[in-house]
Amino acid sequence: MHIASGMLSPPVWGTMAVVSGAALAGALVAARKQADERRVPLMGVMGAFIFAAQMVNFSVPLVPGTSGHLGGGFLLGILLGPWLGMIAMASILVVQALVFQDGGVEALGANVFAMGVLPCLLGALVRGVWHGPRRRLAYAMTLAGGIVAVVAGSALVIVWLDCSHRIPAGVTFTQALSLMTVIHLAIGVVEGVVSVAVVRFVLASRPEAVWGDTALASAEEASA
Amino acid sequence: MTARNRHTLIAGALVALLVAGVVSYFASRNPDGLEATQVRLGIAASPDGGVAPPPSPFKDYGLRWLPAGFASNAVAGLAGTVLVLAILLGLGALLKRSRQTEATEATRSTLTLRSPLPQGEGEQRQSSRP
Repeated sequence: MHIASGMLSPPVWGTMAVVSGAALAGALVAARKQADERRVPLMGVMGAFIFAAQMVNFSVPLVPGTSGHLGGGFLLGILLGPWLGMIAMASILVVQALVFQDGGVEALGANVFAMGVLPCLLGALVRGVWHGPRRRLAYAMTLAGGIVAVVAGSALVIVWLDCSHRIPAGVTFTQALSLMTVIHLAIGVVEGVVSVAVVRFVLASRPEAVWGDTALASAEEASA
Repeated sequence: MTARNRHTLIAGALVALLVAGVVSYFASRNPDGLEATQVRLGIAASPDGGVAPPPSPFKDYGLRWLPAGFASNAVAGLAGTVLVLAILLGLGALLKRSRQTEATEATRSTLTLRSPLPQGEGEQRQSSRP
């Protein structure tokens, strides 16, 4: 879902660069409390894993000729919290834009917002209300949250393309929005399923390294 | 670094390298969700273009000097994974150091030891440990 170069108009990419820049500055300040000897290695490997996973495009279920890949911001929001999650996603997107020419350089702010800031906050929100031993509910919320994160990000991209006057005459905003979100609904289901699987795996192997570990660690114990 | 944290780092890095170096070769080559939407609706880049990216040997996830194929994809994937890992561990180390500096200063100025956790969480944390 990386917006390519030349797709957004200067007011749109400029605004999003300022918004994402401010979010990242705040994240860097707030993340200082989070960066300890357990969480930094988890941030490193989860970031590397999301970069790797984004290279694996899969065929979108029910939409032939179309592929999708993991976003990962939602997953990082759950496991690392919003601040370290945003920092990790922004680092991935910068490497992709500058080294792999995937995603426009000027569109970085928009891409960081759609695939980093927004899904990381949603992941942290899900994680934040995830208390007690009701793990089934927590995983159902993770699945649903993954879908919402991808669809919301994809809808934002259409809004930005519309504001940039890139949607051709003869195509309505609603048509563009429905096509984009329907495709990303299918991609979002994969995102949600993978998020649940990875969260379960990391919680089973390193519960104490996960953001806001206390509620979860006791939940694991209660159900064990 | 404790053995557990080192284990997480090594095991996680190996999984990421395997996915980027090997699994990604078998990825779908079809346009992704956004590209497919743009093609179907005729959304094209503006003719005055955007900001050109800096020259890179890894354009489009392949090493420029190798023919497109498994090796080219693997080298690019491994390089990107190592780069992201290095950037994040470096940033993490900087954040950790600034946190420790801040904590030392706070201790010095107040001469009291405080938990860095929000109120109440410290007790929970202890009780959740064996």
